[in-house]
Amino acid sequence: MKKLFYSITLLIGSLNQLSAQDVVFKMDPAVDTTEDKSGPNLKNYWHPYISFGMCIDPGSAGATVKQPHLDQFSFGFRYKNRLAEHLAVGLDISYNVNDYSLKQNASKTLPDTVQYKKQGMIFYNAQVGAYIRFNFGKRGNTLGNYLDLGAYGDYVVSHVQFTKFNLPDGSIVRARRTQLDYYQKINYGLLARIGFKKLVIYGQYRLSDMFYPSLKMAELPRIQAGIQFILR
Amino acid sequence: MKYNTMYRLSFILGFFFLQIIPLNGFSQEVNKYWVFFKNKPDTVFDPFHYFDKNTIARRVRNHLPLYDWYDLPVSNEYLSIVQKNCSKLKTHSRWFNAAVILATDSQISIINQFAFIDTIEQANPLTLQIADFTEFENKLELNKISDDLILDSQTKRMGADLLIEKGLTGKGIRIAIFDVGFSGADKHTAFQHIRSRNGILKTWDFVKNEENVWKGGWHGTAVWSCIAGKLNGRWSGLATDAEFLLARTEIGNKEPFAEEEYWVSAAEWADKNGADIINSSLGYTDSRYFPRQMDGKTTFITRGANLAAKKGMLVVNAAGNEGDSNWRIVAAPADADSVLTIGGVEPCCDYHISFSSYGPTRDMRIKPNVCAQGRAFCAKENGESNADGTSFASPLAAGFAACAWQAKRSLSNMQLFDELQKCASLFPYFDYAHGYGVLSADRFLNNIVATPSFVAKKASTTSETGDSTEYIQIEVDDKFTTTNPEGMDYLMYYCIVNTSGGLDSYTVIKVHEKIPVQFKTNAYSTGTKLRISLQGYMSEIQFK
Repeated sequence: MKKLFYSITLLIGSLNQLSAQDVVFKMDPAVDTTEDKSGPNLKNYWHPYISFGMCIDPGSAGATVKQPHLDQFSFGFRYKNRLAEHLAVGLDISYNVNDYSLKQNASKTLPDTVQYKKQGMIFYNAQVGAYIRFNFGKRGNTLGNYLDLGAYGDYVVSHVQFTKFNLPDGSIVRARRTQLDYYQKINYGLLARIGFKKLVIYGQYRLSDMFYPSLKMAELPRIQAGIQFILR
Repeated sequence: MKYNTMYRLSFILGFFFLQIIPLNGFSQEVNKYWVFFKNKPDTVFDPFHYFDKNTIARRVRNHLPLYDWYDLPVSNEYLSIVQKNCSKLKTHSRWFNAAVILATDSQISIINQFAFIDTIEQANPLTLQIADFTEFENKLELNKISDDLILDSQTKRMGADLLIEKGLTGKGIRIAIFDVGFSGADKHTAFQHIRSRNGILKTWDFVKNEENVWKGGWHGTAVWSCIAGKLNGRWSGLATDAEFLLARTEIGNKEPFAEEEYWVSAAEWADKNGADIINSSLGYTDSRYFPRQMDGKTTFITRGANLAAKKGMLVVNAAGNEGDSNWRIVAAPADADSVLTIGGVEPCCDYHISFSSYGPTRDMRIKPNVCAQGRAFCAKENGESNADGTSFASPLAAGFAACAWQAKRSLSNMQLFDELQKCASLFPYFDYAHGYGVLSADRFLNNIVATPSFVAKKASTTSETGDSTEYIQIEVDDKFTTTNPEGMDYLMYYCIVNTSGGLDSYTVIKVHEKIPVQFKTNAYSTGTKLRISLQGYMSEIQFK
């Protein structure tokens, strides 16, 4: 509001310098030196981010996944509200893709016991997270070094089961199954992040079961970790 | 499996904490502290033994005592006691009467009990720094102006020909350069003339504590060439006969707080070794500070730079390359009131180059003070290059200052500071982008008084309804409505000065017409002033 007021005042002011000027340079310090309230170490800040992660635990018996394998990609926005020099809280909103590549072995039971050439379960999630941030060390208007602890909730927007196998004649078949109903629409868990300015290492632990307990299906890996890049 | 999963989770969280704790310190972790002492008892000091004879001469010229309290060494007894009670004594500073130590919280509690301790400040949390940006980033440009023209104009626009004609080449002036490194400069032909006359007096790498500074990056090489280099058979700087002290104080992209400690240590070293001028083409911004801290007294390096000036040295610092970033304003230590802060102008003409940081300081002092060309042709590790940055404007100005000081050796450092401002192209006009303008040897040596280049006239118009509007019209001499001898338009600078003396706005326009600008008088509040400058002539009009 203050900036708008200054801008209007100066705009009116500039109209008072009436002539066909060829301006090569003009500055209005009253506007230009107004300090922002939004910034990495100011009251409010938001930024987009992308992250890449993988499963850390192999999954339960019957649902082991290939490792190392890039299982998670997400793009989101993070809001930070600074409470004190070393304390902040915030929210994340992101869209993420979890692509579990299942090992095809004799013990596999998820989602079936058939062994394919490849088999994957892909979950497309909308995620909301909340966190508390502990900052460490002196810093200027930067994100600095920090530890985030929080929780998240996923809403599964869609799920695809992917299989690839060979027919007896050697031809390759790729199949995608959707509109499956054995998974829970909502998942939740805990998250932790350690950040060095624009580089973040994150980990998350899923507390909820991925599938309806009544179905007694093997559980996919609960722990994922990866790296995030702050894009602003 | 559940147990296994929890075990893995514990492992991951444990890993995170192990990352955090050593970096930042819970109670038993080591942090870096500045420990300031109350006094300097029982110290013996012989300035003739400790200082270079040039330092003594400088102090005499500056009417300073041969030494003062700041020069006295830190008490060995205090250092010894602190050393016994901390994890490591890293360094100490005479000027700040302080020691830099690594210690745990419990060790700090013990040290704090000693009666000779004044204050203890946490200096550097030993954090892993991943720099967003560094002032040293050279913006190499493919541009329309040839390297030859840039090389020519970077010294000639300040009056190189006149300085050379008068034999002013920085002879007898000792310049200390603080930078990230001088890679290739020990062999580069640009400095052959300096090496052949043993013009490099001392070097010191404050990062590694060794003499070798011919590493770390070529930014220092480029900077040095803008003070005294010879490229393609032509001088790329003005102080070609000066003597040099070369210090490495920067680590590069990592940018930890320790760089400021190195800078202050280097300033003490430069003082001890007789430097007259310090050139420092660096600055610290948002990775450490907020714009509100650019008030000339907050940051450690700014306080150190002011102390360096108190020792009679002229401290020349780049304004910074933040003009087109969110930071915008000058970067510490360029905010120090005793530092001659150098902004950048376009090679083609005398107006602000876009990246050059703006003033004022947060306490509304004028910065930058003066300007030099913000794009220069300079030496690299191997060969030469055209590069952008106030990093190069600063050494161009430092070279000029060396020649100026040679010409008027009796001036004190702050008298020279004033004279340099007065000889700049816009003086007495100033704004927060150009300061007092580009340094001019002609104005420095010949006390040129600008002749009136325009007049301010009152005019009025009456509308159909009978309302009268009054204007101040600026009418220029006819010769300014055409181009100057270089084929460029003349530039008129004007600003609106508020009742506090600060600038509400400032503008540069090209002059094409007899009346290039007029101002509606009733649009400005009483007491507001209009300042206009054209070709070194300034007029001030107060609105009533």
